[in-house]
Amino acid sequence: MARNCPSCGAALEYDPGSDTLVCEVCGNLYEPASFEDEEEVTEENTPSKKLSYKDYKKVHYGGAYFDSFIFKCSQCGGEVIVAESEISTKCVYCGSTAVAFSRISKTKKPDYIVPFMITKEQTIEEFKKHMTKGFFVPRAFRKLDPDCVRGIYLPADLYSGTWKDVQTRKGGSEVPDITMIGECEIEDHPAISCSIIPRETAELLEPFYLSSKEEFNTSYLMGFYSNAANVEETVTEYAAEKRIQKKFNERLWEAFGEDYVSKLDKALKAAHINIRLSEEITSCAQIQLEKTSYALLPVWFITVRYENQPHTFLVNGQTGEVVGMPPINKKLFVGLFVSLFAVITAMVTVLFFAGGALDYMFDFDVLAGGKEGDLQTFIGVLLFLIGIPLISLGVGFGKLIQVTNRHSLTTKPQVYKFAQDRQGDKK
Amino acid sequence: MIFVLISVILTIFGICLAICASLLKKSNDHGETSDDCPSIRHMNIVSSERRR
Repeated sequence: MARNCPSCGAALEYDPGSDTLVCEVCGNLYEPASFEDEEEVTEENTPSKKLSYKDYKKVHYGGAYFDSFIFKCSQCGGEVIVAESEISTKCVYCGSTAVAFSRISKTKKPDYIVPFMITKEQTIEEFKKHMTKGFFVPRAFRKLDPDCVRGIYLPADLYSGTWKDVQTRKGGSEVPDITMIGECEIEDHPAISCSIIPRETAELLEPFYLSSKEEFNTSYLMGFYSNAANVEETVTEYAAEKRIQKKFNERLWEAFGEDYVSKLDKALKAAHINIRLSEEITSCAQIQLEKTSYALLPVWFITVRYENQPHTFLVNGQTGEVVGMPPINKKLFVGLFVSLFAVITAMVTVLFFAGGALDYMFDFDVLAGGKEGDLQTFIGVLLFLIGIPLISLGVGFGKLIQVTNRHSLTTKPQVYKFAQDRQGDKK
Repeated sequence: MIFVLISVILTIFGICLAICASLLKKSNDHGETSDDCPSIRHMNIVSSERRR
């Protein structure tokens, strides 16, 4: 159902820049909160109160064979297909926002919403600014315009509670044990509850500042798409705990760590004691975390098609943080690698062979098992010659895999399909 | 001698790969895990040292 302008009857859209509903026909502005939701939920649109959404589907559409609703657009009467977890979409015929009120009221109505603060134009500008920077970004990609830009509200469970932990870093005879006690309150920690968005991507989109959340009102959905939660609460709870634990530990040791490490380092060096600080930390955490509410968070989805492969970038609709990795200029990458390899090999050749460093470092009589036949030295050198390249290759390939994994998040077909499946206008 | 050569070449290969991959990540990757976590409020920290 669309919000209509009280003056001229045209469909209204939410404008992130002015935080108002704008009528594109007569130009009037309206406060989002001035429209009430309750009056618009009608029996006609609402499934039976006793049925869950899945039961409702089974009864009305034969269960497993259908995973979409057909919703009647209140603006033009056209039939709009609403996917299983969609709350709001756009009418393919008239372009006005269609909100499935029955879905909101019966499945899981959000308590809060963080409205979009970044406009579509600002999002595209920010995206282009980022994409033109990268040294390895192909030139053709830099000139491309986004294929489509869609603002989608993603569901998130909000967790609140308290977190207390006592952590001890074990010392030794010269180094003292360090105990850190930390406690804090957790307020509205969001964990995205939409299965399409990978956990890594969701974390990169953070932070969302829930202090600027608003009571949920469908006025904010006008002009945007939105989804209902489709992830079990246990999954979001685990994700929230992991995230908070990481941040808590960082803050705990940052507060004392640097000062402590530098102080201790100086003291140990002064005493000519060569000791590495223990990495072993024991923890005794007391966590009280519970889901307190459910909110919608604003995310812009930007799709760019390059060499027939879609790339989907996500932009935090509140902070403008761009998440994603553009394609790689493979020729440039290979060229740089070959050049670097050639230069370093040449330098090593000169140093080791022409300079005679190799003869100095390795006693080939020992390697050959000659003279005294020092087996221990031979094994040591052998392990060194096998170990160093293995470590080096491990680090090199590890970093490359990290990069390709991050790139694969941008080219994930599910995310592309998720953004592409939203109906309505392309940009 | 050949064994030493292979070892040196593989080491250089790995180092070059690590350098190039790091440059690639720095250049192309957008979106870093933020240090800010606004949901953590009123954090109190107490520390103590104990010698053995």
